[in-house]
Amino acid sequence: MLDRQTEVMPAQEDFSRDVERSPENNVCDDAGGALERHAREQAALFRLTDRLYRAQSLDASYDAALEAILETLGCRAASILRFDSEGVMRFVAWRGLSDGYRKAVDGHSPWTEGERDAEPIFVSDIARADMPEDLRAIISAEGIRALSFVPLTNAGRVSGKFMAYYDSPRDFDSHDVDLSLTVARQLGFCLERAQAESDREDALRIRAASEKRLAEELDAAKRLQEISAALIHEGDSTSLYEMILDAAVSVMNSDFASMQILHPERGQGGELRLIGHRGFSDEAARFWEWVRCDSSSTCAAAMQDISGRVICSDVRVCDYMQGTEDLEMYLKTGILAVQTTPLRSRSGRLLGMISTHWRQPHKPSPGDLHRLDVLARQAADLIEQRSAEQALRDRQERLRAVFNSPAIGVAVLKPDGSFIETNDAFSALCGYDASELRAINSLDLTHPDDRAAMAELLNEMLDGRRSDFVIEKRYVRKDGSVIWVQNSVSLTHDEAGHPAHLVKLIQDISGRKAAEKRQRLLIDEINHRVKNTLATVQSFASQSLRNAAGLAEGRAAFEARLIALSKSHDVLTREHWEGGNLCEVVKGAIAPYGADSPSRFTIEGEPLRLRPKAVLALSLAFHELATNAVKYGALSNEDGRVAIRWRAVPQTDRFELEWRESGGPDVKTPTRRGFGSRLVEQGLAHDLAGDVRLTFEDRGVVCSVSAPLHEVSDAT
Amino acid sequence: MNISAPDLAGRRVLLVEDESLIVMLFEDTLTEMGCEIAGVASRFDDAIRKASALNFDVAILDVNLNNLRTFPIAEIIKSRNIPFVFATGYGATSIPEGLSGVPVLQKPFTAPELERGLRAALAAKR
Repeated sequence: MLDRQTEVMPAQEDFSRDVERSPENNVCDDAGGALERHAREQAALFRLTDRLYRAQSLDASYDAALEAILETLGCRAASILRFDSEGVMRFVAWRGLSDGYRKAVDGHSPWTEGERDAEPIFVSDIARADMPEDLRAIISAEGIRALSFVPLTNAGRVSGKFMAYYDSPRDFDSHDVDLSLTVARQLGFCLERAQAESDREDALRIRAASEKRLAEELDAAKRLQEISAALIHEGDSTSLYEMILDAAVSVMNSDFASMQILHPERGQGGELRLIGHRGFSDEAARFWEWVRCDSSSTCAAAMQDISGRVICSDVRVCDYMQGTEDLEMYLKTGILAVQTTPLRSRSGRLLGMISTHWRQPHKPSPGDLHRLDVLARQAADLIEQRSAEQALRDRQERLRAVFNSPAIGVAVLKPDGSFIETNDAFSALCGYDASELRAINSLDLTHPDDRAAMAELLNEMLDGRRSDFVIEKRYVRKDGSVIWVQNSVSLTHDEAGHPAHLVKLIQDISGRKAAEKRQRLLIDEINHRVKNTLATVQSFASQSLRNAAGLAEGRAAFEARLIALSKSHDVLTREHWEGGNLCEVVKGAIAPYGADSPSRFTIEGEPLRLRPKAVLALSLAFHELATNAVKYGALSNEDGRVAIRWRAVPQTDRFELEWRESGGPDVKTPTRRGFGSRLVEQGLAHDLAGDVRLTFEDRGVVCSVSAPLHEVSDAT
Repeated sequence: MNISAPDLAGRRVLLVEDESLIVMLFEDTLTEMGCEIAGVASRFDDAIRKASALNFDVAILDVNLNNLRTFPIAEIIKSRNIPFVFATGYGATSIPEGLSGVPVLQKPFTAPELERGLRAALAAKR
């Protein structure tokens, strides 16, 4: 304040000069008028100072200055101009100027911005000044005859000007100059101060804005860090996805968010499945549950666009969405802007998408997108990790299903043979439960006779001389019984290549072994029977040829016996060589001789099951008896009859059978025993371990058989 | 004819065989060779008795007697130091270790084969 008063002081000195300049005036009047004028000027300047000091705005400052200019400089109009941000001098405040004039001279400036040591310019008479004619014309048209340019400076450099306009030519004097400079100085200081204020406010605002951004970044970073931490501790997938969605909404300042996982096997090129969202209506969630890559949503666009994310700041003007159902759904849900960012595995494979949506058109900032990329990396890692875990679980499930299969025993052992893990089928096989097995060694389970072979094979495998093997051996079960098993044994190795585990598949082959044994026995049996049969045939041949009268008779007898033998085999074969029915055997033997006619044959006796041996022996015996009867006995004439009767008495273990011929021609006891007789008497008796007697009674042969019942039959 | 080969004439033979027709064949063949039938057994118990008590020079033993193996009977005859041959319809595999030197006749066999077998058994004993 004191400085400004000091500034005013020189004007008082000028006052005396003024008085000298105007001689027409009465000295006293001039002095009074000058005093009055001086007082007025001082007051105006004082008012200017005060108003500038109090000014709350630049406009108030300009206004105060214009008033002071008009009051003190005696002009008709005044204006204040400042250099704008491009360095062009422009009107910022004026009084008494037309719009037309201002527009015409806007930008015109005698000085450049920042020019030093600028001096005021006074144009006393427009008519006589040196200036372009078109400019003179404009100024004249406005009624201006004289004007002054007064620079406004900021630290000595021109920052603007003020102008005073006079409607008649004017002789500018030093008083005008001083006043102009005073006003300019005051206004200049005020503007400098205002500028400083403004700069300070800008600085504060910038700082506040960056603090705000910093706080946002910090918050986003914290969220991302929380998510990372949560991922490390295996959380439930769903809640982790929820965390990511919340973070996306926060980072992007969006109203909605969604996350999708790619199912590459579905559709053509894969389909995206919605795994979580924020803010979608049920209808929207259903609509976007599965997104095909040919649909018109941003996710589909992002799927096709390998370069990266898709941003649609206003869905209403997005070309690929025009007229589609997706657009309808966006609008229906209240979404006007959307971005979709692909989630890729570390190797670049597309895993899914993360999207955010806004209710208003919106263009995400680079900062937001950068933070979203950090989030997307974590989301992708999460998805990849979860799907790998799921794949692992699926594989383990399948392995477990195989392991638990009841069809085959599975055991995992340490290389030394101790059990680590066994399945139920194995326990069922060996009779020990899983915990009992873990306390024993597999060699303990092996039958002592098979241990050496097993141990040797194991050693070869552990030494690397053998990769795996299959062995048939016996186990001694918990209850002491022995079973045959087939073991398929293989060895796994650790990363260092050392033996890690023995893996065994065990199958119970007892059934097979028993069948093999039965088969061997059966084959031996068959061999035995065949050989015996051949020996029997050899015997037949010998007997038949030896006793025959001629070769033809011998051949005939041999053939007949052979056929009888074959027929007895038929009986046995029908019953799987387990026996035969006596009645059937009898009927079979006499069939060639009219067994159908009951007048010829009488067959009496309870049903009796014969041992195979008895079937054969009796068949052959009946054949001989019948053959004989046909040749010489009851079957050689019309009236002859044969009665076959038998009896089985279990209590006395007795079997008795009688072949009685009657009505035949006279029978003479043969002089020599033929083979037939020998076979019947000796052979049958031998085979049945009993007694057989052939007697030749008047009317026919009688054959009596008496043998232990147990030799004849097994039906007890 | 080998002079040192033992003579079969008059030799008494024990037959252990359950198939009667084969017994008849043996009987006829042995009789033609000049042998005597000392006895015939078709059942295990009877065979044991005869093998232990009967007097005979050589035996023909069917390995299978009514589904029973006759090796115990063989041991009895062996313990009496009497030579014998096995007759079998089975393969030669089933003869136990201790009796492995005994001649085995595979049914059906010819008369010369039977003769050779008996001679071999008698020669071994000497």
